This record gives sequence, C-alpha cells and structure tokens, in this order.
Amino acid sequence: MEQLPSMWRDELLHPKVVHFPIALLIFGTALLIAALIFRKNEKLSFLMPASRLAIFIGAIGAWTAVLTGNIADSFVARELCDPIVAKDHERFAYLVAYLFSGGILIDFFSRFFKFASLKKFVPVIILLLYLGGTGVLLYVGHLGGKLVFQQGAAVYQPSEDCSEFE
Amino acid sequence: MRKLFLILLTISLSFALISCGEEIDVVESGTYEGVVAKVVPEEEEIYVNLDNGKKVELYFKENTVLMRDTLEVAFSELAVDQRISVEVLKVGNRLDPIKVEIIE
Repeated sequence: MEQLPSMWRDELLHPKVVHFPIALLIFGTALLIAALIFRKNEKLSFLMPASRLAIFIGAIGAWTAVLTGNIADSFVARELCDPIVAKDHERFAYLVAYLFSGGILIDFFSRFFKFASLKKFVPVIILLLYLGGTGVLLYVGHLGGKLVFQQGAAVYQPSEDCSEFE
Repeated sequence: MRKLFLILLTISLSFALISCGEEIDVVESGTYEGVVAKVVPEEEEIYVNLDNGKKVELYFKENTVLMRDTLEVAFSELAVDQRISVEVLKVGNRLDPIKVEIIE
C-alpha cells in the first residue's frame, strides 16, 4: 500500500513561509498610505512605525520565501509542464524582495542623514517602491497559484482507491 | 549626503532590475547546436545558448544520453563554454534532452 508523503518534506517549506510576507508587505504598504494620509493626526502616529515593522518583517519573510522557493524549485522544476512559469515566479519574487529591501534601506538611511532638499520626496520614493513591490507581489502570488493549481507543483496525487488514507 | 542617497537609490533600483534571474526560451522538438552557459551539477541541469539566439534550460533525465567522441560520458564532463549539440523533445513547454553531444 502506498504511504502518504510527509507534510514536512523540503519542497513544502515554501508554501508554509510564503503567506507571511504576502500579508505583511501588503498590510505594511496599506499602513504607510494611511500614515501619509493621516500624518498630521497625532493619535494615528503609530501608523508609520507599524508600517515599518510590518514591512521589515515582511521583507525578511520575502527573502526566506525566495530561499525556500529555490529549495522547492530543485525538487519540482524538472517535472513541470511549463517551467517558464516557475522561472517568472522566481524572477519576480527576487524583484519584490529587492524593491521592499531598497525601500527599507532608503527609509533607514534617510533617518540618519538629513537631506533637506530631498526630505519631501523620500516618503514618495519609498511609497512608489512599496506600491510597485505590492503590484509585483500580487503577480508573483498569481504565478505561484498557476504552478500549484495548473501544474500540480509539489502536489501529491492520491491513489484511485485512496487506500493510503485508511 | 545627497549624493550618497541618490547612489543608494540607484543601487537599490539597479539591483531590482538586474536581479531578475535567468530568462529561458522554449523551442520545438529537434536537434540544436549551442554553447553551455551554465552547469548545475547537483541537479544535472544545464543552460544552453543556442545558435538561434535562444536560451534553453535542460534537466537531464534517466534516459538522456551524453556523448563525447562517440563514447557515452558522465554529466561531470560538461563545462561552461563547451560547444554542444542537443536533441530535445518538447513536452508541454518543458524541454527534455534526449541526446547531448559535446562537440568541443
């Protein structure tokens, strides 16, 4: 009788990790927008640090997702019917990680070094990076969905009589 | 300081643009010649720049034959910049190498 494969196999680390950065980066970007809209409201001054925290943890999650994605790729890529989808998924995932990491670095350095002439533009530049990153992130998620739901990447196919579940 | 900031911004955007990994192409089933662009020994995988300008990714299968001077050789014989001939079978959008021959 066939045995059910473990849910802790290496290629399944990626789906366990990937949803954290998706949620945190989108939420962090939304918080940044709210923080900029309500920047004069002192009661809502927590929005900016909350955004920074969500984006920071989300970016760490994004790089972890890239790493676990590369591990998963080494298991599933050779069996995919359309590996180009996996390549695009990987390429745009790197782009997401770099865009958010770039925004974090600019945010970090702009707090240490005061650029009087650029002060107004820094939040806009960061917001543009995060909005761009969020757009690409949604596309990366779409491609990830295509890999799983169209090509069955890392998906176990149960036997016809489901005997391994007994 | 302003320069440093602009440099940082440029670097981060450049990284974003150049970090996008490798693009690969799909070709029809057939035999092609090209140059090995990358070898991934642990996955028995190669990237080949074909003479027609396309770049393909090939995962060796159990039945893939690798030849050199009419003799069958191990995957470890493959190296970057080698000129090779590949016979591929297009399965969906995946290219399965049937026969790979090291020309030089």
